[in-house]
Amino acid sequence: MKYISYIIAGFMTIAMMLVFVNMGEWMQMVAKLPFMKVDPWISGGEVTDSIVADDYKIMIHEEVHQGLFTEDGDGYVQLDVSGCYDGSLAVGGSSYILNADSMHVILLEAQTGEEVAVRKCQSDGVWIMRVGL
Amino acid sequence: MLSKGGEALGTQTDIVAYVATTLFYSAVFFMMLYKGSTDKWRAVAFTVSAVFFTIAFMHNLVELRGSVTYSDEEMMMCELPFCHIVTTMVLIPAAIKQTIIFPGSILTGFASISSMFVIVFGSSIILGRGFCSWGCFYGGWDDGFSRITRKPFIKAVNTTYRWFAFAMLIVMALWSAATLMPEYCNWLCPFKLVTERDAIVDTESLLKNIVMMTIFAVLVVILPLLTKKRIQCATFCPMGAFESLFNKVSIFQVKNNESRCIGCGKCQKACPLLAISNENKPMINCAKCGKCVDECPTGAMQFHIKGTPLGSKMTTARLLFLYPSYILTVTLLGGSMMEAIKLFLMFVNI
Repeated sequence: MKYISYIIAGFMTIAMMLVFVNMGEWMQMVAKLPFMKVDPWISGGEVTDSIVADDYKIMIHEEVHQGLFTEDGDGYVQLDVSGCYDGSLAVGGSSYILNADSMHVILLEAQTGEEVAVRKCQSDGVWIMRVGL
Repeated sequence: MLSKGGEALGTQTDIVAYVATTLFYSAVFFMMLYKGSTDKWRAVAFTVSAVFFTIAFMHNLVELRGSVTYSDEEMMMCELPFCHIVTTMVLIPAAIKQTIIFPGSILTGFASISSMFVIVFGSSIILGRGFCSWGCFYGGWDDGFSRITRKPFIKAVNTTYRWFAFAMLIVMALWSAATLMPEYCNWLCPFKLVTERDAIVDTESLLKNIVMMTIFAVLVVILPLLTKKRIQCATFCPMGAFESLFNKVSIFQVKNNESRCIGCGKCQKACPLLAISNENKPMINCAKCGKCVDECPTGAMQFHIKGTPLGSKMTTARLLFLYPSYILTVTLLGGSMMEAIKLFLMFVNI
């Protein structure tokens, strides 16, 4: 028994090297595990709809909600807006006016005309907006 | 070289940095073998590596995004590097919701989630909580500060504080699961000061920065200086508590051979992680730094391999533990040292 223990302990040196030498393959294996995807609450969720024209493109993501077991917590819809757009848009059952170009993006309530506070950033010319539900 | 898949050394600076790094780690390992003491030389490599890691990491961030702070944009784009401490907070949502609650990349980019999973679980299965003394680039800061003073100003630290880290693990895992955000990283992690932190844009981010700096000052600098213990690692780090569980899996242990023990208590006084019981036995949170083994006057404390008789082939057991442990240190942190040396060489125009 003790010799087996020493052999296993000796193998641990090789095992430690294999962790790093084989890193790429281990990473691929780990990435295939069912839970290895960033939570939609953080990533913004999958794209479910898109509006594409010559001078603009709007990708509308799925509704996401904060909740471990249920989906009744706070929620938002992510929009990826590129190009110039000035018009109405329906998001999560509400109507908005979206005004966007490369310099700025504004979302207004369709009925009241008040600006809606959104979490937004710009990356590679695409405005990413998270509109609260 | 291992971690970069044997990437070729392109320039003269690369070669100089590679040689300097190799010489440093080889010299430290040689001294570890030649002198027969583990902890003193481990601490040299561990602390120096942590400092170099910080320099290389921060420089990398400045090159990538122009700042060591991260903004809402990086969060929304899921571009943050994954840190091993986050592992403890993603487990419950991973089990229940089948998702990872961290704004990072699964497979691509620097410190992807899958790469850190491989390193953390791979090394923890092999070394148990040895990761905290041989691989954790944050632990090196705590360890370094705990060695600056010659004698502790606070001599007795209640060893029951070690259980606070387990409480932190449970609270952080549940809190993060409830909010679907890694809340330890969000609010409490002191090591954001030496890696990346929130850009101060509003009251909340200002508060986060104040909390983080206060915890760093108290737990990583002041208390280790006063007690000569790794207070942050021993009492506050949820990852340390999580890693402790792997001590039950790892084949390597630190054991007290009671037939040799004279009960002097030097091991308990020396242990920087409050991991020795009042009966002078290493507890589950032992990080295998080797300090108690070095301090023991009778050789009762020893590295041990599960399934072998206690007290036999002590040198073999120590060496069999040192090789994988040192490979972890060199492979995980050596690349950063090379990067930092290259930066220094470029800075002085060599």
